[in-house]
Amino acid sequence: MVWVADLNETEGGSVARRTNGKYLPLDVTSEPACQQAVWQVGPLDVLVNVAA
Amino acid sequence: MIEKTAAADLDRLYSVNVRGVFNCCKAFVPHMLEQRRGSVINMASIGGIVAIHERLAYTTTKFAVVGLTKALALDHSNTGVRFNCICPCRVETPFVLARLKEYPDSQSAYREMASTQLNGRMARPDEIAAAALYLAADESAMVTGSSLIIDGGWSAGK
Repeated sequence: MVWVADLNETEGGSVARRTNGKYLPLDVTSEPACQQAVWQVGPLDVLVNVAA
Repeated sequence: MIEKTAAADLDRLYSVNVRGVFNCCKAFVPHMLEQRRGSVINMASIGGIVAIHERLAYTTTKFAVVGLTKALALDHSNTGVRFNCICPCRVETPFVLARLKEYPDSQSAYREMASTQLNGRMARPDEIAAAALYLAADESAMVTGSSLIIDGGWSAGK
């Protein structure tokens, strides 16, 4: 399963659809939001940090 | 340039480029360590290898991403979890292509942006994705703490 986390629902959702993944709204500047994301997503094999 | 860089600019870029990576690693890496497997791939930049002219805040944050990646790899060596970053040159992302269209002479703007690469072009997104796939796969099992440079020769010298 691929999760695409993005603040921008339009772009994040588009990438998720193209990758047969799921979109997760996430503000990576928020530590509580990232911690909460773990409970939604579960353990990962690969984490790619591309926000910039 | 320091005269043109506000502290707020630095804080804004730092919060996304550095704290964002830190926050996601802090949230997800403990589970990877428990599983004793995983690959973390941080998107840095060629600006994390060599300074980019008039991009003080950006360069500062990307050097930090490279340092963060290496520190993670060192602290969690021999755990089964690998930490690497990718350092691309300018890439023809949809964002960059949209910005190029805003110039009166977009072809000239492209040539200027492409001129920092020795091969005279920007990278394609799929060329960066291929590097991420490699770092995610078992074929890169021996690779951790690395900064994979994909820069068309930018950092080779001027």
